[in-house]
Amino acid sequence: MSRPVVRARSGRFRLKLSADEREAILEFARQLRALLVAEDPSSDEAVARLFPAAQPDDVIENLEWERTHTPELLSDKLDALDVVERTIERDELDGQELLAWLSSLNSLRLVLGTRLDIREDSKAADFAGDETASGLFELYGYLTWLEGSIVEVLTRDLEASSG
Amino acid sequence: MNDASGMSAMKTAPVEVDRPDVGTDVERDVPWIVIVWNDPINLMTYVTWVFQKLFGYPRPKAEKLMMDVHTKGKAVVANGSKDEAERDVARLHAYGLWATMQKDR
Repeated sequence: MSRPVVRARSGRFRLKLSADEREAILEFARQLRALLVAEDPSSDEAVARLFPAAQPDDVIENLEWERTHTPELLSDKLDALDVVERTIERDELDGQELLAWLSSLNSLRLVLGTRLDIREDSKAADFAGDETASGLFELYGYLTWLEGSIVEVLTRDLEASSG
Repeated sequence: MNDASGMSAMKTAPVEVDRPDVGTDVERDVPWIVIVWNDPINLMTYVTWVFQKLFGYPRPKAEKLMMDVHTKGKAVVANGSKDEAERDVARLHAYGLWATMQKDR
């Protein structure tokens, strides 16, 4: 398969995605938004993965951390999802939009991977008996591939700019 | 720490000369470390890129830290005052990395 994200001559980033792929990403983005705006997102273990404790052994510090940092972290994630939803049909993204895609894809993989209890050596056969899980694992693999392509492009960019 | 994250000079707390509790002053000077823990989801290439982008680390250093996280389960990726550690942890969380902070002692 060819790379889904490449640097265009214009300096922008070209997205080579089918209509089906875009639809799947949009659907995932909407589901993640629904989870994030739920009344108590952190009661969901998979969503809680997006909001780790900074000092797990200190209850007081953690309450303070949640109070000061969680609202901003949450709004950053919602902003990134806004960008994905707004640009889902576009063939080219600028750098900031690509970072929002990367952020959203990574959040999606964290939530989906936590739900699926992904291990470093997880493979399709592990989910063979469960139709829903094996479908989700396939989508997880797709998101991994797409995210990997974005990281590859951004890494090359970073190194080109740092000489 | 690298320039990209080094705003420490701007963050010097005023000296409180008449503070009776010497213990607290000592406490405040304790350096903090920022730890990134291994997780099975974040891509190795992504973690390396985050270390390069966030801390300005050159590729070899970023890759070594990533491999430490991957093989040893965790790595100290930054250190500094409590404020600096907090800022770094918040930024790592924004990138989806599993980061914590603790006193370096």
